[in-house]
Amino acid sequence: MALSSAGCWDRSEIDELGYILALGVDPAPKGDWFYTIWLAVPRKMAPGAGGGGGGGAAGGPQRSINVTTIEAASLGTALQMMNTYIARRMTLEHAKAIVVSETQARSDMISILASAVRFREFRRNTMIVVTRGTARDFLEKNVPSIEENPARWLELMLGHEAWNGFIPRSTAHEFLLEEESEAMLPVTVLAGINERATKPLPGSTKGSDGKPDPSGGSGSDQPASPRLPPLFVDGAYLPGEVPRSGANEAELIGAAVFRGAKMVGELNGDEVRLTGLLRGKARRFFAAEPDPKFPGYYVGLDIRRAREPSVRVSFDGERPIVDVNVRLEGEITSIQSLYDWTTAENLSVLQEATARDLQKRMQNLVRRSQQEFHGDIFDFGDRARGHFLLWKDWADYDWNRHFPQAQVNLQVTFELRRVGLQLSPPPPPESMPQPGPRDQEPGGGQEGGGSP
Amino acid sequence: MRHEQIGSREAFFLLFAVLSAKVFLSTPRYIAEDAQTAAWLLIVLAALWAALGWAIMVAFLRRFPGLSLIEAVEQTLGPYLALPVQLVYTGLFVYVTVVALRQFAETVLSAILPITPISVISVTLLGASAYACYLGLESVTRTARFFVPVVVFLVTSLLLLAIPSGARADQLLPLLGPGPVALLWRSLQRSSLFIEVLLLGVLVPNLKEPEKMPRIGYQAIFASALFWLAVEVVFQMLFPYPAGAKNPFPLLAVARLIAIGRFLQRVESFFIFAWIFAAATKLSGMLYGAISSYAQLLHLKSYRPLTAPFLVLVLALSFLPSNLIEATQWDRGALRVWGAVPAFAPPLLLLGIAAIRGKGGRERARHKG
Repeated sequence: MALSSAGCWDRSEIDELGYILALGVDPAPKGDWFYTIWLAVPRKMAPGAGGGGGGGAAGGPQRSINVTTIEAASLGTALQMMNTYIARRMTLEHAKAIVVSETQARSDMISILASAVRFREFRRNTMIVVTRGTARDFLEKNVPSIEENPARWLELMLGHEAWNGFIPRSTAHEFLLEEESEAMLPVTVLAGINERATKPLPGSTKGSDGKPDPSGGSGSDQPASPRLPPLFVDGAYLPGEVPRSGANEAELIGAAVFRGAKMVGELNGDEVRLTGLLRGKARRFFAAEPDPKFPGYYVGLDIRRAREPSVRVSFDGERPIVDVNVRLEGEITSIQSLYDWTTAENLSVLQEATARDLQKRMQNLVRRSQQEFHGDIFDFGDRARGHFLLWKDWADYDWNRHFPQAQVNLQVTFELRRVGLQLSPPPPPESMPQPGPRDQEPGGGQEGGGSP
Repeated sequence: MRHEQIGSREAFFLLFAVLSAKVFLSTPRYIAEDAQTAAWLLIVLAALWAALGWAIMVAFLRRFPGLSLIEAVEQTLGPYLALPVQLVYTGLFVYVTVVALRQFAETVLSAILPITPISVISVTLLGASAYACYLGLESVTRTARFFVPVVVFLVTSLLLLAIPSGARADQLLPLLGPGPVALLWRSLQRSSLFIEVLLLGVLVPNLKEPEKMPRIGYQAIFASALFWLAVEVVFQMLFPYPAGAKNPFPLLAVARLIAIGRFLQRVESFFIFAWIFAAATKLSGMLYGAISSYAQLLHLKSYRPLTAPFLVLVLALSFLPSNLIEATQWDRGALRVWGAVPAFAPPLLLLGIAAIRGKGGRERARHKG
């Protein structure tokens, strides 16, 4: 067998294979599919090759990948049809992601994934990405600005769920399990192209007269005043809406929610973080929490999961009662208002206000899951399985059908452990507004997606 | 027939290998399909039923100390009436070998070498196993003794590495799956998963310490059940029911999920080593059982001349199923449902007949006296 595999029928030379790094799927007008691929150009990925992932249009001389699209009825035939103009035999063995357009995701996601996992070359831990717009557009305009190897860009981006929590972890394996599970609704990474990324941010430049741009103001001569609305939540964006300029046009933030293998809604970046906290997946992220004394000012926090969230499910008749206890801890990273939050008394005020704010936003998200998605995106259902002895009883109960009526009791505790490398901040300038009443109700979270 | 002698430890390892090798096939999948979330419980119950069947076998063989199962059947029923029963046992060994060979070959084709002709894979696997048989029982058992710890180590490592890839204990709930009645009935049927223990009955004259035969059988049944339990539990934690019941190559799927950091990925190549070792050991053990039992039936002085004909027979029969699905059906739908009947039911009848006719046990004592 060693001889036959090494020298005979299944022999493959490395330079005979075309390595597909990402695969995009869009519906085609005739009822078949547009398959778009990132095809690796290995000689341009080598260190010092000068290829780079960035620069130039799709398929231009600077890119270390080739982007090509073909129309076909199935993935296998698509890959072989590509050999009518690409010499190497296509292989999916190194594919990092499958990108599916939102249009297709809202129509039928499962047929694409079910076909992919049956294919021997496809690995179940390939990431699934749903993109606003077409997958073709996303793959063509996605030009990583630093990585020479776009596969590396994909790996790093898709690993951010542990680091910043703005996207969920969504592999084909997890999606298929969650879709067949009776206990939850699956979510995938949401991506898109930010058309505004090629333009300067509003207010970040000066006009031709040298004065701050009237469209927004640079702020340098302005008196100190609240720069943000009271209900601002950092990170509450969908792909294409992140207020930034420069670098890669592609963005990965938020999640697509599925029910019955069809996409039924979206979560913005902040909601994905909150979902991650409730699921026990999110470990750590930076956040800006409303300053309890200065509306419009925010305290930068490094929030971490102290323990796995405790989830207990009980039943009142048919109605589930879910008790969730989320335990977090954190560190102060910045104080915009320059108020001394680092005293023991003030720390206590700040952490309680933060806990209340997070709890309120989580409660809003739970309500959204119940009323808009009509299902459980938090995986509380798996905690309910132990209440049933037989599989048939569990399946007949249909957790997602009962979850909209569930009573979900959330408790968030947040402990501020550290204050960074500075104790009390420097004294504020005279133009700084005076503090408001103590224990002022902090700004609540924004619901849904969208810009501040 | 001249009998080579093997120790009880070699016998245990051989038996463990032939009983456990099926974890590399689709067996964990259809166990999950049978028992839903209680697959682990079905394995425990099936092992208990198999131990009961083995106890009956032991009770029968104890009446004929030093004789193999084939010889004991002839002593009980006489040379002519014994023939069909003996052929059933030989046929069982052949059937298990055929089904195992075809399934292993199909798995290699589906997962690793899709273009290689199946005959190349089958001939290579079976040829190596047949050569080991030809060299003798000691070669077979010492190979098993060497490879079994390696296979156990590789599979255990694989399972431990796979757990961080999303294994969740709550996926084993609800606890009773299809319900207690269904579990009991299906576990009784699936006691067929342990019928390879009959091999020990054929090897009794080869044991240096034949009095340890019962213990070796029980140890092999429970050790392989424990190994299987570990595989099934991790598989279900990673591929919960109903999704897990759709995966034709469970252990390979578990191996392909392993991704720890960016470095420890694509480790299924280690798994393939374990897979091939297990396949070769099982095939050589079961092939030996088929050849040896037939040689005993024919009262041949040596089993070796039968090696080549049995190789051809098994190879030819392995090509009868049209595809993987049919090959799996030969295993799952026939052998592993009804296999316990011809394996364990005859000893019960034979025990009764031997007692009535006074064969073995008291008869020998009377003759010695």
